[in-house]
Formats: sequence, structure tokens, C-alpha cells
Amino acid sequence: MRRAISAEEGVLELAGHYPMSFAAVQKHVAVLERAGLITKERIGRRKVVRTNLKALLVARRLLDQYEGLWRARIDRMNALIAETAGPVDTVRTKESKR
Amino acid sequence: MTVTAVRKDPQRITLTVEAEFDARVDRVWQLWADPRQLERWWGPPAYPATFTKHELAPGSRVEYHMTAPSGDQPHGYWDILEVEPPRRILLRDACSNADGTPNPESTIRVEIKEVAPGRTRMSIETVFPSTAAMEQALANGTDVGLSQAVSQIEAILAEETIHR
Repeated sequence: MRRAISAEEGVLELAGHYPMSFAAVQKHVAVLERAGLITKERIGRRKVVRTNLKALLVARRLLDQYEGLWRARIDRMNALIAETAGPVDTVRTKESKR
Repeated sequence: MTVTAVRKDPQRITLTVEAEFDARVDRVWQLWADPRQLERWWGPPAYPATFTKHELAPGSRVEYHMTAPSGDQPHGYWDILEVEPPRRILLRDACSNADGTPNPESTIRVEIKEVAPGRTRMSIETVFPSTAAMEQALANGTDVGLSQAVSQIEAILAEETIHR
């Protein structure tokens, strides 16, 4: 991904930078392409990989928001557990050893 | 601090949140297994969730709706892919449009395990198929609302463009 941002390279050239097979790199590229994070374009005989920088920024921003959503959910889970914590939850019983 | 780790991978559009609770594994499991408890945390108080069908079994569909302050009730469902009580759930979360067609979903993997006696770690990994799916999930799951989220994103993108 970093390489696709800094230079326009073909899948073949990209594969040369990584200690994995061409097929493996192709698979990664396909996943990123489906997610809309990169685009592939045919220039002559080469397939050039371009990053969709905007999509990447959007993804990062959305992940931040989603983190906030889960943090709030976990706060509520915690409150719920605290509310119901009685002797059953705080005292070790043989049940916890299974 | 309950949340112990957060990992974000924008390339895989994946968020992993880890939290630890002062409770036993069975108690933490109930947060997911008991629909009445789920309703207390899935949505914020101003935008609560109601689970109308809930069975954690492989192949089963859990159904819920949110109730927005405006009275809107977006519907969502989980397709349960794998369950291993009381420690593991793999589900696909989706929402249905007004016409009943499904919207792009996220895949959520929940793992619950004891880290010390009476202390339990829950890890929640959410994978989105696209940023569009993620925007949709946020619109349905938060009281922030999509328009506000999008305007924030646009402001950030505008800033980035100026700096470049």
C-alpha cells in the first residue's frame, strides 16, 4: 500500500518488493481493490496499481468513529456488570474451575 | 480503564477492541446471550435497540431494531455463523432497507476468555467489506447520524487537500 502511494507500479513490480509469491501479492491487491482502497489500471501491457488515498483517509476516519461507538458500548457493558455484581460474581466458586 | 487495546487497520477496514471486565466468563457471555442485556448496551440510551428474535445458534438469524429519537426504527439483523458458548461468536451484522433488501454488512468476531480468576477479556473484531458499509453501520448504530459523520470527513479531506 505504501509503495502504491509513492509510485505507480505494476502488480509484478510490487510483488518484487515483498517476500511473498506473486499469487499472494495478487490476492492482497484483489482484497484492497474490492474494498475500494486501490484501483488497477491497464497502461499498455502493464497493470498499474493506484491508491485511492481519499478512501484510505475516509476508512481511517470511520474507524476512529467506530472505535468511539465500541468504547461507549463497553462502558455500558461495564455498568451493566457492576449493577448485577453481587456475591455470585465477586466470590470465587468452584464453578470457575472447569 | 476497561478498554485495554484498540487496533485499527484502514487497509483491511478492520477494528479490534479488547476490554477486560471484573467478572467471570459466564457473566460476560450473558452480555451477548441474554437479549434483555444486549438491549442495554448495543444502542445508546437515546437510541436503544430492541431484539425481537434472538437465538445464538449457527445458521440462526437474530433480529433487532433501533428506535431513534425521531421515532424512526431502522431494522438490523445478525446471521450467526459460529457459536461456542461461552467464549466465541462469529456473526454477520446487516441492516435492511425500507424495502427489505439487505445492506452491506460487517463481520464481527467475539472472543471471551479468562485472564485471571474473576477477570475476563473480551475481544471484538469488526471487519467491513467497504467504507460505504462502514458509513452505513455508523448511521444505524450511533446517534451522531450519518450526515454529521460525513461532513466531518469532508472537512478533513478538504484540509488534507490544502496541505498537499
